[in-house]
Amino acid sequence: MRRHEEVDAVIVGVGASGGVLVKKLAEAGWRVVGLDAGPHWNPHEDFVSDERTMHKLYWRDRRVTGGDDPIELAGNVTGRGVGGSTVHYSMYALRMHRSDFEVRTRDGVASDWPLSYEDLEPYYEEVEHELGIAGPVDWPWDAPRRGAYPYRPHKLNGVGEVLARGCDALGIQWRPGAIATLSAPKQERPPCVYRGWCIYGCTTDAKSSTLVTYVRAAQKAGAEIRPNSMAFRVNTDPSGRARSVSYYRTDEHGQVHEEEQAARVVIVSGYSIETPRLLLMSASAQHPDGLANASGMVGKGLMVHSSDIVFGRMPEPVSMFKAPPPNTITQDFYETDPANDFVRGYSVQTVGPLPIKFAQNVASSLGLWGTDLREFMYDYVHYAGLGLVGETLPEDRNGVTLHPDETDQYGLPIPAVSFGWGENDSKLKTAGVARQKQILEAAGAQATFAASDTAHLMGGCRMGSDPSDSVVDRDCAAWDVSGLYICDGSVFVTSSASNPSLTIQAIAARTADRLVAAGRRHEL
Amino acid sequence: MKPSPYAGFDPLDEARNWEDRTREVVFHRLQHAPEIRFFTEREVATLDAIVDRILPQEDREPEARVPITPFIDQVLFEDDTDGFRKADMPWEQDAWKWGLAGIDETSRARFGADFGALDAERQNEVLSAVQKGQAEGEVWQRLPAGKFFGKLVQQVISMYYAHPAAWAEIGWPGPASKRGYMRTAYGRIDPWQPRPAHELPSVALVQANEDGSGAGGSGGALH
Repeated sequence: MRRHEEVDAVIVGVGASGGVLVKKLAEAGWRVVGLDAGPHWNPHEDFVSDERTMHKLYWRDRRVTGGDDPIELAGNVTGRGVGGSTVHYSMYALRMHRSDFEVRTRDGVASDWPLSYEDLEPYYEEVEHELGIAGPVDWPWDAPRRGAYPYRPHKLNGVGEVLARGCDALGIQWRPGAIATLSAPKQERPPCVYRGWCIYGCTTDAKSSTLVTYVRAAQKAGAEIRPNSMAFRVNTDPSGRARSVSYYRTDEHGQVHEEEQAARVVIVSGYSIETPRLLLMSASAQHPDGLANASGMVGKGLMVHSSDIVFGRMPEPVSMFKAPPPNTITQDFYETDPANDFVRGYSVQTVGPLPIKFAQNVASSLGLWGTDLREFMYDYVHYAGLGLVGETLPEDRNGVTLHPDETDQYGLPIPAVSFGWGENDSKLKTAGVARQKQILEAAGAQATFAASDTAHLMGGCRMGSDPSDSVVDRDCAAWDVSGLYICDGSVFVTSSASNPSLTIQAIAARTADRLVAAGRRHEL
Repeated sequence: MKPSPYAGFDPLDEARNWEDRTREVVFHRLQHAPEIRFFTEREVATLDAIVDRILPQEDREPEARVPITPFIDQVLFEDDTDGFRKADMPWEQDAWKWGLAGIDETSRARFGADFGALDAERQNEVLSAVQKGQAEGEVWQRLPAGKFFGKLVQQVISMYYAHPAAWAEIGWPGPASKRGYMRTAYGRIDPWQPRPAHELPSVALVQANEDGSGAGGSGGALH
């Protein structure tokens, strides 16, 4: 077995969060290794503009999904390879609202975050500039900004205009979305040419995935990215400190080698399924219930967003396949409204499915097949789709465990994911779908139908201020294991009604700064 | 079947402007239907018959029809699947083997013959029963019929709408890469987009099926 020389930090998973960490730590002079289970994609060779080919961007290892309302995995929630799901995400880059960090205080549900909006605000700003977020000239909802978005907003597309028209007719505020694809050149990267293939991997580098932003900068700063390396255990020394990561590296001939990377600091950034899975697989005599799990919270509190889509048939061609699907948004229904029978809220955003995905939505929601389906699809260009990002509240019953008897290609226990809607979640979702319908109808839709779905993962190793009910502290340091950090969407305390990537990245940027500062004080 | 309003439109006319590797992928798909390696001959016959009902192509000469079964076979043989299963479902390969056997079982229970031997009307009746979870047969005791039907439809769709002939009939111009689009506004048509010869609104189809007979499954997240 190959044992690599100790470095300052090893990061498990080079995705939304890991990408930020490898760059910031490397630029601070740390010796950094980023392990990723998947390939190191080259967008100019590996990505094609084809719906069927690009499933390789999803995490497709064996998993079981259950509970009262099993969620779809793969494309809905996961990425594989360097850049993680930022390679195929729809790239809404939204800040959470101030209220999101205080839901216990304000609404009496879930828990408050150990961080405030003000703690994260400088890091939102930093990440927005690093990615080159294109956004509106003003943001009328919460999440106060110190300045404008760095890049101008993209022009409206057909579906964006439909949302705008519907909202205008109803007196609802809307704005062009704040999105992570360039509207003007940035360094070597060109602006978007509106191909509409964003969620299948951008072939032009206009999309600001961590693959083409942070990770490239990290490599320039000397970070080593080690792809095809599947971590299976975090090792601790007799004092209980995290010392190394064991992983299986698959070489170019498909041969699997066990290797170990020692590091002063181990950071797990595998997202809400693989992070708890790795900690649970790292159980030992010292940590019989899994690493960093004294609270019993590892793998608990998994959240998704309700992401129902309502499609509307418009009188004129919409061609929602043109331009980045994230185009316009309203957050008028984001905050708790005492008039509702639920707390918290939702965002409504445009979507733009390509033919296969649209046909699948038609089939699953209307039950169509046969001649009906083919004839329905003749009308594809006339449809506009609005997506929901509805908050769900954390529940201990929703989460990730190790499957008792099934294993993956490495012989590792596969993750079993469990999810069920809570009462508040369901009420909120129903209200959101009614609102999406209302907006489409106000825009002139002649018929609408809803497709039920979920998106995003949050939680599973939540942060907190009390070691008895959380896995990490506000700096993403594991309460029970020194030298171990968990930094990704799994630390989310609540889900918010914003797409999570920008917050994941802001937390990573903050964590990197805290680590560098602690290192300077010799406190690591 | 009504004819497409985009008759005469061919997205392949744009192919010279696609990225090289995208063009390679699409043309390879057109020219090389994979060999059958996963299904048995009998399963292929059953699946072919099912596919003909899920996405009928009687309007095309047999040699012009979009092949579906060989591509599903390829996905299963190469395990090019999405990797996860619902807790009450078997892994993908088992689901397909069992499901095809189940459809034949239901056909025999109802009409005394395998699915492939039934007329189109009876085939549709069998498939509707499977879709609604009201199909007879031992298989459906261990494989939720409605969920299998959803999987079947989703997979047939992903093969059919990956083909330029399907793009043509729905007026989708294909990869548009590197060209992208200029006229993105509502109601605007780019020069390389087709214009329909006539309107064929789907409003009535939505209204008739709004209750959603529930094929189930998911097309994957969009945002």
